[in-house]
Amino acid sequence: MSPVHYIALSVILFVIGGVGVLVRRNAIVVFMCIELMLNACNLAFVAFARLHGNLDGQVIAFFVMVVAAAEVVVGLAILMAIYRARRSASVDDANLLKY
Amino acid sequence: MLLALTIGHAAIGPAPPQTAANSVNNLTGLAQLIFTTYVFPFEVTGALLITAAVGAMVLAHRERATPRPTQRELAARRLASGHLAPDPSPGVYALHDSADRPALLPDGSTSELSVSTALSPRDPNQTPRFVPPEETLQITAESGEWEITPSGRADE
Repeated sequence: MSPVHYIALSVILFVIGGVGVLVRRNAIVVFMCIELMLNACNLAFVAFARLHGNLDGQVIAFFVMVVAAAEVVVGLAILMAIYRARRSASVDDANLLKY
Repeated sequence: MLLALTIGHAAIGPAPPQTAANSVNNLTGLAQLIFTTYVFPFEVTGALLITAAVGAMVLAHRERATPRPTQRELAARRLASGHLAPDPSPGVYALHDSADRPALLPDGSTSELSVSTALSPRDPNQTPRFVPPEETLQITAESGEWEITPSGRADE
């Protein structure tokens, strides 16, 4: 199986995640879509690493996973704080900094 | 997408076999990369994880607004509230037995105390929900038996 298939799959996953971030209103679903985009990037990294015949892409994918874990930890904590203050997990309701 | 796939196939071609990088095995190659070339990002990653964990704890922590009531205070509050016994349990009726049906008092009225404050009490004489929408069951005042009456006409 050619690496192009993996890259195409990662593009599809990334587009799904991006559309989800733009369309969905629930902050938890937005988080899941961000994770989908990060994992699509991981897939692309590993596919390109396979393509170039070295392991640097796999190491970068490992770092991306760690950063994703840290991001989701802090993000969920912020989400919990916002939910406590505003009783809503919708990204439209957190508009205090908007105007 | 298809165009990109086709062009990618033509430009990239099949992947070369990973011989040099995976000379021992994949895990050994990864370990050599992480602990030699990428050792500083690896350590920064550890610091990032620690910071994220501490930040999550700080963000999610919440102090109690009031001190936790002691058992003595709880007992005094119950004494001051006027009724010492536990709240009455919800009503059990012939056709419905759920937590939102208030219990009937001896004088025929309903007891709001018997329903949890998280629920809104429903009339114990209200018709059950599983009746088909076009028909409702009603007790006739004379015989005391259930009777099917079309609810649409009753509203008009």
